[in-house]
Amino acid sequence: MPSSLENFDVGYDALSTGVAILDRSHMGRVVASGGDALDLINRFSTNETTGLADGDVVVTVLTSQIGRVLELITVVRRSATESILMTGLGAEDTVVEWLDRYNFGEDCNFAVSTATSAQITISGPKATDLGINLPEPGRYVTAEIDGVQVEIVAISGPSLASYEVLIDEKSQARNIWDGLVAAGGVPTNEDTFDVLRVEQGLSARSSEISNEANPLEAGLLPYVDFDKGCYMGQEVIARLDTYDKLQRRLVGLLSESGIALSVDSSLKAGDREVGRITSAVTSRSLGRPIAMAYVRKAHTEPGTVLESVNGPVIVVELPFAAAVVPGSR
Amino acid sequence: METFGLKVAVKGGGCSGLEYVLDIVEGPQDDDKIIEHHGLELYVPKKSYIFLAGTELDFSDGLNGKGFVFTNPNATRTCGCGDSFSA
Repeated sequence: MPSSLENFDVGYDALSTGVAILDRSHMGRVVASGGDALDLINRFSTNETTGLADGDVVVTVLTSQIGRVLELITVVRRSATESILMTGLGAEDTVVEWLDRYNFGEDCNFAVSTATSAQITISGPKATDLGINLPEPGRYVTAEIDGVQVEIVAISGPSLASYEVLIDEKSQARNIWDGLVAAGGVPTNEDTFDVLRVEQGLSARSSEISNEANPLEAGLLPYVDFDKGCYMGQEVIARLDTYDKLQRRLVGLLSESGIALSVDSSLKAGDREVGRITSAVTSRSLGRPIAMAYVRKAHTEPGTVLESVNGPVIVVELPFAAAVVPGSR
Repeated sequence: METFGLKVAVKGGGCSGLEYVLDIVEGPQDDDKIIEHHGLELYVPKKSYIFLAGTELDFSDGLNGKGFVFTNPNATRTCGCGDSFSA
């Protein structure tokens, strides 16, 4: 699909006040089939995936034995015996290998469909202006765009107001893209989307969400069901929550100097390294470079000044939009 | 005459990723390893055997609870309840 533009301001305005579209075909997709597939996923992830109705959508986190994030997956239940799993970029093979490893002859099969299918994100407060059938959060519906039947998924949880359009046949993606553009969708790209994401303090895969973090510190608490019972890593996560054992927190950072901040660079308090930047953008709404970072708890009080490789930064609560931002313009 | 045996297997689940499965079943599956012990046939599925080789299965009827007890040399980690392990 074309990424014709890119004018940052046009894309940003569409995402924040209109309706934008984004080619997400590169994200991972897996077809989970068999009557035991969702039960197996339930035993290895933080949210409840059994007892769903057809058309339900639930986000869950696959975790390791030590409670670290393996991958965030969105489960889209088509029927009792088939679901789509949406994963992050390049994570689909890891997810399939992980689930296959723990499948001891159960009725389930996991097949990567990323290369043969496509995905378009619709995002922005005026998504309904496109005139297509959109689902409630936590549900999916089938809809027709330019004569092609697609599935539209609405995720329930902390994310930009977005819908994911799933297209089974990749060859039909271009027609659907053109149809969405004709209906008023403004093409935008990941970089622009990322600015809004960071402004809203939302975690992203391969930035805040990685196997070095647990779901609680990565901002994935809404996807953890503390009442569901055992799953791999559950004891560790329950202990972290019960005894408030998190060592670090996700916070926002404002550049004091106006110099852009660098992803994966360290943060210091005096001589001591106390954190690491996970996402960095230049915020249009705040008019300065901002970042998200994991910082040791003792240094997360809003207003704390830390030293980055790009100069001093001020700690603020996430999301930036709700934070009291010192000296904001 | 029907042949019944005890299926001893693992399945994915529990806090540590693997759980033990015990079930009385009618005959073995094609790929099951068959172990005879005290006149009882144990059926261990091939994939499970990798995680169970060398395991001692006992029955405890002590004051702290009755039940089967697995002593598995392959287990590198067990969860608090002892029903789940990783290998």
